Amino acid sequence: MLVSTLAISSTKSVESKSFADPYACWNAADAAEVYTCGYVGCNFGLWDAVFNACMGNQQ
Amino acid sequence: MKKLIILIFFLALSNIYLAQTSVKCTYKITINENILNVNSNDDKTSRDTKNMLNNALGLAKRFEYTLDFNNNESIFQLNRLLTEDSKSDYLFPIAKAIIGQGVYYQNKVENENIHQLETSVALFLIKDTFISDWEVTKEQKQIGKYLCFKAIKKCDSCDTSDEVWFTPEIAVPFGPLGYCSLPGLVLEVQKNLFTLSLTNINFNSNSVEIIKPTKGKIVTKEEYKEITENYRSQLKN
Repeated sequence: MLVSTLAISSTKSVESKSFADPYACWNAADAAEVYTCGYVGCNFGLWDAVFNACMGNQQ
Repeated sequence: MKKLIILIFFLALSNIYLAQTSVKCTYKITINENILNVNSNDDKTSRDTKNMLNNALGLAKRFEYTLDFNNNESIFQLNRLLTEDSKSDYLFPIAKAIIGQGVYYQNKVENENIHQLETSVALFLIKDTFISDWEVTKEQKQIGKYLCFKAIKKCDSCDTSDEVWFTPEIAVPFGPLGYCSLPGLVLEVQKNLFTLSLTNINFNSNSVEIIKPTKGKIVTKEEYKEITENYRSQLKN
């Protein structure tokens, strides 16, 4: 279950929260690839960025 | 014979001039609206991911990319000067990754197409070549004052395809995001979520030096794919 939320207001930047479930972050990163370029594995840079944001890791 | 020598001299001179003169192109992003609409069937992960991507795309609208080229080589990257205030936003790396991140370098003489990309795994130098596997269609449209043709490159292992518009009126085989080897400059790249379009071109730019990226772990596209797939699998385990 994804504990932290990635959805934020559209006008302000908000720091991502940590303490997320890695499995949920993994799934979110996979979903981000599918939604942007069609399939899992199409953009590792995006996968990496989403996973790290979800986990609260600095990039 | 004397006329031939003079002609060869001037041709050589013009090639030297082109090689030394950089052309600066500016590209901006238009977001394709309503592609990532949240619907009632979406689970929480899908909903959160779509919202995050939509917010990242909102940030990406402010991005400006530059492509600098001369007769032999080109370099494409995000214009850092315009994104300084965005860097603290946690969506910034995501927005960059959706559109295009790192440095894209192309050299037609050396047959090099290099993408320098920083990830959690490593700083990579992904090396490819100039491969002309485009399908040039008969579709035409005007972009600014240039007549452009549509070219499509199909993905062998997936259902997606890349779609670009190039103009033979600027006869260099370069373009943004690593797209190259067409008989003209790529002015527009059409993706599912966004369009990257040329907004300005300066033919008299002498201010940029094109520096080939050399730092990073040198890999082929296939090696990069293998390394990153292994990394993902390790994280899940």
